[in-house]
Amino acid sequence: MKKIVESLFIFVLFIFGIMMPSEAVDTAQNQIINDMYIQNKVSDIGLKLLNANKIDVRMIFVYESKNSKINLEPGLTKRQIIAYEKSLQFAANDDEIAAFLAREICKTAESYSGVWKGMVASVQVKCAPKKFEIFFDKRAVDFMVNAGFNPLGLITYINKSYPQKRYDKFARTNLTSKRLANIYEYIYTKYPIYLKNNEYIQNEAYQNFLLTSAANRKKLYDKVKSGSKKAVDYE
Amino acid sequence: MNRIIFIIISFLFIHSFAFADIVTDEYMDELLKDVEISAPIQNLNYNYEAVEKIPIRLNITETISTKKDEIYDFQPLKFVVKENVKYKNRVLINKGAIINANVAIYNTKGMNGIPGCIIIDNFNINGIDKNKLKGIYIKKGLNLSLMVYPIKWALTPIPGVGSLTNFILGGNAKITPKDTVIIYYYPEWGEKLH
Repeated sequence: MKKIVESLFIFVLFIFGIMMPSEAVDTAQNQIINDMYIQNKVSDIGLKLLNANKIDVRMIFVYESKNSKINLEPGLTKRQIIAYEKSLQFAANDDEIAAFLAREICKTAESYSGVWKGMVASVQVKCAPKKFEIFFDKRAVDFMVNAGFNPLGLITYINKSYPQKRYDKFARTNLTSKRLANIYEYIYTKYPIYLKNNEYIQNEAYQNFLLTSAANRKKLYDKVKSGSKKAVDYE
Repeated sequence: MNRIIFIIISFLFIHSFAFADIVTDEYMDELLKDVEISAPIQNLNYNYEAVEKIPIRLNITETISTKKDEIYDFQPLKFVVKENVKYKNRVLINKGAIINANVAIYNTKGMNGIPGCIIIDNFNINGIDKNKLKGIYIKKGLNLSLMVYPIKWALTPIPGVGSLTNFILGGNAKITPKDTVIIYYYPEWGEKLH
């Protein structure tokens, strides 16, 4: 009996003393390899967006896994675009990663313009995000198209990752449905080829956008049919 | 009993197919039905080794501004070339030539002194590759935030007073025929080596 207990004890020691650390090492290595892979992908897409759009100001792209502390707006202060795991988990393809990065690039590029080396512009973007939100969305569409990405990826990314508030009259941000409708109109106006040869029509997030945006799409339809140039008041 | 189970299963089966239907974009299909569409120009084969740049000075033919209802996305614009554009002793663009462009995006003026903004792109110049143009022109209105924010923060200790500065609006962005719009042409920008 004593021998059996001793053997069991040695076996348990073997499991916890030898196997676990090696597994832990493997997990850590896999984590590092995984992080390196995502970091390279984020940097490649980000730099492609900068180069294709001839953006001649410096900014870097950093991937942060979920354990890292969230730092607010480092794009505006350090010109460092941080792609948190929490943000990237909504991106299902390169178009959607590009969508996230293109929006951040617009914001960061704004921090270079104006007096005091862009400090005032940065404060404006930080204090009045609602004013710039749709502006950056539309600019992101241009950036994506120039770099060879499908701008409908911006619609699917936002549709998956931004919640829908009740009102936006006194809010700091616009209703997500309003943002999506503006992006959709912008793509229709400037890059209709992506809607004519729609590669996202089978995409679940895009289908959900179509399902939830019928009223706004009708407004756009009426605007185009009437030949009006006035901005549509989307809901 | 079997019949009831059969009906329920049939209902669920048919119902699941109904939900599996793809929602089509009928409004857009109709709008784009007979429209001829060209592919957008992308900039994927860049090589930015060369640094030589040639300024192209332009004047807009009609004033545009971010005042409400005076501007819209992708609004067509016309520019006149202000002076001959030369490269290696050869005139590339003659003075007085008309160049078409578009409003890319605009942003209206906002509270707290935020200025309006116009971005113009898509400059179409005969014989010049668009990808060799650093062809975006940005014009902003009067930025009053520099004045508004210090006043707001100074008045914040008095309840409710600091917020009154929210109602100070920035200036409209405006481009008039007197303004000189400069875009740059990089003749030596070539193709990426693969």
